[in-house]
Amino acid sequence: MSIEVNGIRKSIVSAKKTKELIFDNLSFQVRDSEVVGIYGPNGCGKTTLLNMIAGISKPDSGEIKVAGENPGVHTISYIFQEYKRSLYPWMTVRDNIAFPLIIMKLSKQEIAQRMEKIIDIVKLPFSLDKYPYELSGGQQQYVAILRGLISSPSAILMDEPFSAMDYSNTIWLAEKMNEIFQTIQIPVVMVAHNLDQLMMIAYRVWFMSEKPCTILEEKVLKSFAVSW
Amino acid sequence: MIKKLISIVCLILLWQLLTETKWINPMFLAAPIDVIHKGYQLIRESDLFLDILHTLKRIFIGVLSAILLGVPFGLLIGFRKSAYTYFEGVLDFLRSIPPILVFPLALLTFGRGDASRIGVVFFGCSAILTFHTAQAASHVSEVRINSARILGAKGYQILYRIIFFDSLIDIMVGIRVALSMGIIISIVTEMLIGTKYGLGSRVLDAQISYDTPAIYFLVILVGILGMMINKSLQYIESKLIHWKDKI
Repeated sequence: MSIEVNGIRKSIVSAKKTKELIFDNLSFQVRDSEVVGIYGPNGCGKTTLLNMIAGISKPDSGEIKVAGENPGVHTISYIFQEYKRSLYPWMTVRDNIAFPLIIMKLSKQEIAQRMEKIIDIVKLPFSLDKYPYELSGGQQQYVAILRGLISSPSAILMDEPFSAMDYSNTIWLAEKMNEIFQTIQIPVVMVAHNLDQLMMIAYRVWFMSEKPCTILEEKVLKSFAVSW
Repeated sequence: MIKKLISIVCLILLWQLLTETKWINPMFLAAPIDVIHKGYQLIRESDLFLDILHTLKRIFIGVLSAILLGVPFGLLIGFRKSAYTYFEGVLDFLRSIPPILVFPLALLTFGRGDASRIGVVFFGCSAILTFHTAQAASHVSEVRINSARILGAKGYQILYRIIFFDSLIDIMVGIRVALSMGIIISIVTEMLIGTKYGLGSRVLDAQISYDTPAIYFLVILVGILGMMINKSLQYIESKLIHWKDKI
């Protein structure tokens, strides 16, 4: 399972109604168990890149493969910046996490088993019967991550996951993320415009240029001793 | 609560004072005590409860039918924004027609029975409910929809698991507006063509017989009924939509 981006090209219509080229022949690979951070200026196309990997939008040309398939074939966990909007406040934490299983129409017994399995691994510091709005920002984002993980995704994409959080929540969530990413074997891409936040999580950081966006430089932060 | 009670008591005292001094002809302004006496008499000697029951029946059947049609239809066209652009003009037009205007047409179609009154309540409320629901559904957060889609939800699952719940706050506002409209339509249609039971026809009877205290009593009664319906809905809303004002 890996993410492969081969020579993608993408233009968008800007606010001034002009066509802007944001990616021109961009290629990279994110391997299993690898957490890659993407650092770049505002508006350089970081979120558009994640959207293309997730299958929300398509490149004009080039190819994206997630675990060998086109985006949208395998389940992907996408963690949004706006955690309050990505969670469902009418559902309890339990139902939010189980949401991907509920829509897959798994039996109640199977859902309970999968929930038990994930709760055993992560040791939640809050009740599953609470509603998202009863949790702190970091805890809400954590619920969003667990919801993404329960359906055994092929990749995790994170778009500025800490940007709406205070410092203590950021530290708490970064710790939890590190625990999770050490136990799962899937590629993770995290986008941020705060380098400190990327350094807490990422193994490699790519520094992106202005539009059309290319990888200017790569910094290896952690030499991870995994099987690949 | 105490402040509200004080203002009501003050209003009644002022009203009593105005009638005691006879500044206003009692034909136009009945004394509170006469209104209370008349109310007691109406409750004891007339079919007032049947009037209330028939008026409420017309309101609830009309509004409930409007909810059953307007909410799902509004969700569908609001979810598909391209569909909403087609329907927006028609809905806005229908919403702008005073429902009472279609009462003669309803009489021609359904006759003088309850069906014509319920039909007009339905017409007036369904346009409001469809419009409110479609507006709410078209403004559901893209992040919420995309997150569900990425997690594997299909279109119909997004519609009833995400769009519906995210629109509930505005749907409840629509239901409250529709119920207020339903009360007005039901009572006015009862006043237009005589029906055996109904608060509207009871008010008209009181006006024909120059029974001013009865008119005042019935007006206050309708006000109290409307307020009770509204408060009940607010209570249901606070229990049902527990996330309101918390996100």
